[in-house]
Amino acid sequence: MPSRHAGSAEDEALSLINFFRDGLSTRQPIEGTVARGFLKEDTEFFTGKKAGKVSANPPAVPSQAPAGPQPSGATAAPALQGPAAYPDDVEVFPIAVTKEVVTRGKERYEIFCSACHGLTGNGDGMIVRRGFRRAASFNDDRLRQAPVGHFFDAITNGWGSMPSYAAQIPTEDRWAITAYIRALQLSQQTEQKRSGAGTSGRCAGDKRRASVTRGPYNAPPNVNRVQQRALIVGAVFTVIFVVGFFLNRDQFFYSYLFAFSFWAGISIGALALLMLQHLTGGGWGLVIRRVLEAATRTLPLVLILFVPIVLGAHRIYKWTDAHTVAEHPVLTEKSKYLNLPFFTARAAIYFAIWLALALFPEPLVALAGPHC
Amino acid sequence: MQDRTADRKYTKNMRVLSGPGMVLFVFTVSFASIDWFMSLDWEWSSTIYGFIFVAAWSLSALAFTIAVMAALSKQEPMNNVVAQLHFHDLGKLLLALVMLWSYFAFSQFLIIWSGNLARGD
Repeated sequence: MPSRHAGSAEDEALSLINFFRDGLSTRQPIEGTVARGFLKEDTEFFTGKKAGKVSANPPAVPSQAPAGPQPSGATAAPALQGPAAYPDDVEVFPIAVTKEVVTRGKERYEIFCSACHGLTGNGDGMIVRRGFRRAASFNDDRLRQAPVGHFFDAITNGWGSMPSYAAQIPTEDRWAITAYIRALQLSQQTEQKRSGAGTSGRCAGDKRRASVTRGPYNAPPNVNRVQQRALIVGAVFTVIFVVGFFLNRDQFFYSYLFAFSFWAGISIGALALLMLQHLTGGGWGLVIRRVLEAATRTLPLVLILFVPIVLGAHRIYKWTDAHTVAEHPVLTEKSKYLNLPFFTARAAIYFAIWLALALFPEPLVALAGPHC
Repeated sequence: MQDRTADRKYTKNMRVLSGPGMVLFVFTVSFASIDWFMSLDWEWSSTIYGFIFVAAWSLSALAFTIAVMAALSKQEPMNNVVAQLHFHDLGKLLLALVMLWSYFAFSQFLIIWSGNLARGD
């Protein structure tokens, strides 16, 4: 009799008993019967292997030893690619792949797989980033061409240092995860084709970006119409503007300053929103970023529009008048700061900073030193 | 540039630049607003004036952008990109900026108002 813990009731079920002739305390299933839930008739569904390649019951011995070398290494059949490398694995899903299945797969994938394989399947999950052995990337050619049965088999029986997940993930969900892996491969494939090798995997999780079709943006035709109308409105108001200049010059410059603050605010404020978006991220900014960038491109125009303010400063600002300054002691003191040359120089500095931020961000980053 | 190369380097660089950029921006806009607008009345001063302009200019830029997006979002190709969801987000941000602006403006107003009260003594 094997050694047993004294008085331990659990051991009774497996202990030698003399009541039955075969000495087993538990009975074997009657020959030709299958316990409920253990009928695994559909070989392809339950094993991911082509029917006939495995003996149906009991489940197949995995063709790849779970403790074997990391498959991405050069040892694992380097010459064979695609289905040829995994001749026993099924190539079509044994279930109907619907949207619900893929959604379910996404959920299960993010729970069970993403820790190692990463949210985009590049094999750079959080555990890998913390020093664990790098998981296989679903986006290299080997796995891109592998049949679906291979993924199912790896989840079911483990692969390399990956353990079997058969106990944690029901069969149906393993296929759902496989379907989601296929979706991930599609999404990442377009990304890699566009950006070239080596840049993928830095920014995990933003799959939506990959699906947006790119191309030169052509403004819709009615933008031209808006442009024409704006030109007409602009021309009309320019006439009024010129008339105002001759009618009441003081009011003209005062009003000009007010209008300037409105229009300059749009392009200068766009710069602020742009920087805010770069700092915080988020979908809202992704959508309006190009519009904001276009708005900041009008900054040189704002600079030109500022020139009349400097030219008309003596009509707008009382502190430009030497007589008034002399009359008020406070203003005399303030004139160290409030004088036209310094005013103009300061404005030049403001515009230099804004224009540099808006138009030449790349050299500025280079100035800031090496990073990344 | 990024549209052509899809290089994520730009995204990263912009983030690096945006931090110091925001600080510079607040300073320059503050001083610009003092120079260009507050100095109209040289006897008057307000310490929150610059912030009002930072908020107000961002606000007007956002309002303008939303208007442009609203017009563009009805047609190709923007209608594929812009969803109702984005406008909800932008609307929230717009509300936040309006509240920020009114907070600054009211702070200034409250002090001027209290300064104008008749003295009780």
